[in-house]
Amino acid sequence: MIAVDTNLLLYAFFPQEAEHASARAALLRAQADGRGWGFTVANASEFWSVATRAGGERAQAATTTEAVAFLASLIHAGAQLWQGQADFGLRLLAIASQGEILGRRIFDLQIALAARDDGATEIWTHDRDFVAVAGLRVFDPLG
Amino acid sequence: MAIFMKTTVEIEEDLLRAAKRAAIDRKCTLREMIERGLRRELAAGAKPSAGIAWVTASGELPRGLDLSSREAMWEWLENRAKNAQ
Repeated sequence: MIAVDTNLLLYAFFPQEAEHASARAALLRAQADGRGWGFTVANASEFWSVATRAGGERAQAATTTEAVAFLASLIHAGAQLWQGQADFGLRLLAIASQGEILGRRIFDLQIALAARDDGATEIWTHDRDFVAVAGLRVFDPLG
Repeated sequence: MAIFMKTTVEIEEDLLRAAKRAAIDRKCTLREMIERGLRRELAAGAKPSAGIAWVTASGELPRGLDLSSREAMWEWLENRAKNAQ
């Protein structure tokens, strides 16, 4: 299965972004791939955090109605919402400790592990520094 | 909370050995390997889904927000929260 990362969701949601069209094309490719696709609860939270707060001084970038409708449209189109399996939190901390994952890189690991737990073999992201985990190939569909 | 059930299956010896080696390499259990495989099989056999009914944001992202680095994105969010205080 293919996991899609937060930045692809945001690019596909905001039409002014230079990567907007290519991100939407990537999501369509993931949907049509046949292996199944989805994103993690952590991705959904990150998307929400940026999309509903990033509008600058005076306004939010998107309404909560728009944000939930965007995510719901992907789920309706077959995207799965993953949250990891049993003992996820403990395994996350153990691997972070063993791998000396520092600072905010823990969020990459959280996403990668949850996606892998639920059967993903690839994560599609436009992140130049994504933390890879064994068994989950990192692919940039915009690269 | 997930409920787990025991089952017994016969698996070809070389495949099982390879799976155990992969589990060690990936720092996970054999059970996790089997569960992921089953989830992939079930997802691949799912019915074709509907097309994506695109929803577009009414606003736009501010300049300077770098989405190509999670590190930079979180730093931007945290700075924004500090500035708002």
